[in-house]
Amino acid sequence: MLDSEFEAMGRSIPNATILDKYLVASIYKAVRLTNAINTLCDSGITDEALPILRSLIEHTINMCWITNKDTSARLRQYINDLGTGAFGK
Amino acid sequence: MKLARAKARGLCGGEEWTDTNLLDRMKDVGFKDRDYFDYCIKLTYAYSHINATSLIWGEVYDDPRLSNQKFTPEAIYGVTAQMLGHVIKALNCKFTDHFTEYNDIWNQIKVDKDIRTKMEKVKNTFDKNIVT
Repeated sequence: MLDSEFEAMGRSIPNATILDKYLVASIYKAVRLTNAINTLCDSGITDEALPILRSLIEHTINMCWITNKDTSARLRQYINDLGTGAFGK
Repeated sequence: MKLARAKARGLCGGEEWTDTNLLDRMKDVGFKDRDYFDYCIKLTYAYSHINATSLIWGEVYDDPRLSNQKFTPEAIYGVTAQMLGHVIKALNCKFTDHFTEYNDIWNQIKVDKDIRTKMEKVKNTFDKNIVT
């Protein structure tokens, strides 16, 4: 589904902003997390998929929160959360 | 010495590594109550940290109730699909009308409504076994 939508957009975003880049990176991550969950569940390793599910939930909430309103400020805050001062705490 | 410095800077293990308040953000984007937070976020947190809730007690206690309380793949697929729907909706906020299928995803899935009951049963059985 997503592949056809990106195909319809010409697989490029002219003059991509930081928000555009964040969204593309985020959807890529969301798909990878989903694939990981599906792979584990398909193999019967259901409970062990839950930590990855939490990652997907948190990632999704962040995406929704950023795009919901005050997008520029929220994206800045999101990126600053992962700044060198906070990284690894 | 390194540990003392880390403590002084509040960097010791188990502390949050961002100032994010996930519950606030969930409310902000339209989750109306705490149910989803309590039974998805807290649950997955327990499994991330491998606390007592997450152990497979059915393997060591001979109690059929325990062995039957594991999560079904369908329950996890349901939550995963819900999240993907939200992700696609977020994309559509920026690239308007390019990603409109999120409603189709939500319409196709059925999240396991018994998730709360199942978890309560597991917890109650676990508590009971620990006491005896």
